[in-house]
Amino acid sequence: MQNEFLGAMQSGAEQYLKGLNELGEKFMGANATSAKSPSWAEGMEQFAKLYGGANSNSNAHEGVFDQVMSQGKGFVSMLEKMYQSASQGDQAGSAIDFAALGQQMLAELAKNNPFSNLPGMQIPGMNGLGLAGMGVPGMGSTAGFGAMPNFPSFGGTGFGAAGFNGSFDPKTLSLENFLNMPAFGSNRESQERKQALIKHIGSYMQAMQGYQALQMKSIQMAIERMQGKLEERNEPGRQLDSLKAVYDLWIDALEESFAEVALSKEYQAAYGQLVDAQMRVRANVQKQIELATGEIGMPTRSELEGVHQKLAETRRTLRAELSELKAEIAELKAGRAAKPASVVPAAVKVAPVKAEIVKAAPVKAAVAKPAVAVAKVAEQSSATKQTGSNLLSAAKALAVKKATAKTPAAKLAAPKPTAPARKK
Amino acid sequence: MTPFKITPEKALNEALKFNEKLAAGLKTLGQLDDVQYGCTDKEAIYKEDKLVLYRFKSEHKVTVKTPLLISYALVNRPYMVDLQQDRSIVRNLQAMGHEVYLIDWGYPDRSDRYLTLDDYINGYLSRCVDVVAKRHKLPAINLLGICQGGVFSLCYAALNPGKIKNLITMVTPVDFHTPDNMLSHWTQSMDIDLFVDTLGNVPADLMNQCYLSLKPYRLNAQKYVGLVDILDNKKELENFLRMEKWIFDSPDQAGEAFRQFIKNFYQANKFVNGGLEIDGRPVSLKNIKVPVLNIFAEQDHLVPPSASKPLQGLIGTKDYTQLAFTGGHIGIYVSGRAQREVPPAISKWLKERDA
Repeated sequence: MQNEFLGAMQSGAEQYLKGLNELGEKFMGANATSAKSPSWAEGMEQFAKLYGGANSNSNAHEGVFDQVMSQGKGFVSMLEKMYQSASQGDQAGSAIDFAALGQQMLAELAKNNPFSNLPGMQIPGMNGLGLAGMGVPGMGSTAGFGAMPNFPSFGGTGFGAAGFNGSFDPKTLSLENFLNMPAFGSNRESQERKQALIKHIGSYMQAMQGYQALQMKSIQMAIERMQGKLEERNEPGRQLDSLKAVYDLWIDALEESFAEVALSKEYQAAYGQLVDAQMRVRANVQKQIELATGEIGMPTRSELEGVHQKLAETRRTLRAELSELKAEIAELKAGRAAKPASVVPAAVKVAPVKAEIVKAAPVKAAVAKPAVAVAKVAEQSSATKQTGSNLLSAAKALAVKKATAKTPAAKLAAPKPTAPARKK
Repeated sequence: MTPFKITPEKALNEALKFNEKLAAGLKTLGQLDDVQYGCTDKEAIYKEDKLVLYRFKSEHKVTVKTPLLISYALVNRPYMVDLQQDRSIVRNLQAMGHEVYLIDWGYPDRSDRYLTLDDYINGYLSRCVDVVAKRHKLPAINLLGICQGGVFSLCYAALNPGKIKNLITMVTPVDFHTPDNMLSHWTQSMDIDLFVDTLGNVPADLMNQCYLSLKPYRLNAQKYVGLVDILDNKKELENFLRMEKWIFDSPDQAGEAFRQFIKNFYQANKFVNGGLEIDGRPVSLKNIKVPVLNIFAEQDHLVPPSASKPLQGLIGTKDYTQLAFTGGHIGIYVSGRAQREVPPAISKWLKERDA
């Protein structure tokens, strides 16, 4: 089956190349700009379909190929335009009118809203806002923001369940009036939230327009920049000898112009406004979803985050306590190791300490118990280290610590370090 | 004279060749398996929450006394330092006698939203340093911080004098307010509190889109048009796909740590302006008195050299070395030139300070 598919693809690819050759022959004639001539990118379209059909769910690299096809079509389309432009010249290669070509491309870019297609130009997360789920027409995607629904549609589709069903006469009420209308009665809170959401969406659209205007400005600048770059190549040895070189130069012009705009104060402000506006929409939508799901007994994100926050705090506390405990154990061990008289070089100098230890002798038996416990703690500590965040171990260790701390002898034998290193 | 030296025949041939390459690529892509990454055998020596500390097993004799711990950024996966056989900083360092450890921060989920910079720096990183130091019975180890991991390393070294013997920072931003830092420029007007309060953890896809939008036409269009040139070369295509995998295989960012990072560094530029505190403890780079090797990439569009170079004037050490690499933010780990230049420079510098 797979072989058949591959065979079909290969055959399709060959046909495409043959077709492209024929297309080339046609272009080589006088009819190069005939309206009936298929576009170069159309062949690639067929190519993509063949590839997609044969590789659905079976090729991990389909995404890469799609990306190549997508950008390749743009590239080939540009080649075609340049080719046509060159073919119209009196002499071969003499007449690519980049100014006209650039304007044409700009018009197409503006028409097709390139910034909703270029992944890097999207503000991600917009598609995940759940706006479609709110029933607001056209709000399921970033592109959809370009088609703000008319006010009447809110009654029937977006907020029907919440009490807006046909309550307003669109002939007498403007959107602005509606948004500023005070809310009353049992639905007032709900209405205010929805009014706020619509205002936020409006702000977002406005911010997006400002942002896109700057993007378009950068493209306009790129066209002018490209003219300059071309002029620089009006001399032997610097001429562009391939369409790919023209494409690369165009990308350079686009990037340089974009960088100039993107580093401006104006862009910084527009970017901030766009991100903030989007976050306000998103926060509002999340709030509405929380309220709706909360009403049917679903756990909400806020509740979960409350738990996560407490967990993080508890984890921090336990780690700090455990660390302190380890330091105390180390002190205890060090104290025990230093205890034999033979290692004390000058008995006279340590006499006061010795006296204290002697004084503590009667509770020596009591010391033994925590000492055993300390060994267990050491095991626990080791286990904790191996397994990472083992809260149970930490809790046990803390319990032991408390027991140890209550024993006077333990305090005596292991004074708290004067300045324990702070650890998490 | 015109700027073009292109005949219609030549233009058509170019288009045909483009499509021929595409056809060949169809065949090549169909033959490819999933790309593999990470070539050096390693063992996990410490685990905590989602973090794993790895020790790379070496086929070579370890001749350098002090081990090297690599702290990578949170925003990408750390296997970039060991991508494939012929593109591995780790492998090259091993061949020069170094024992290498690597922190894998893991993929934070919503339960990690409240992790802070303190948790990462004084918590995870600190414990990893302790684990490595204890294994080698040394009071201090060598630390290599990359990008955001370099910022963490600087904070850690400043807060813990005596725990780091030699510090290496690689493509690490220090002055976040230089005029050519586009990423920083964009964050200045953003309400980060609103951003994190709304998103919780910051999605990896959003981060990636942001990085791609720094050079939107080159990274979203030209790169894939250029790919056609290597579509008929299986090896080159695998290399490309491996990079592609790394670029988009990104962890989400723990919300609170992200908030603190943007506020402290991108917006307030506290390494330079002062006032940086991690969980209430003041951080001054002047406290770094150990030898420092600062490596940056001349064509880095994410961390411009101007953001890295000011380190010299901010730290307390007199033993400061700077290495300017000719390449970009990614090329500094994986390019052929990087393999020839970066690991030998690191190794030489460390060996001279291994007494």
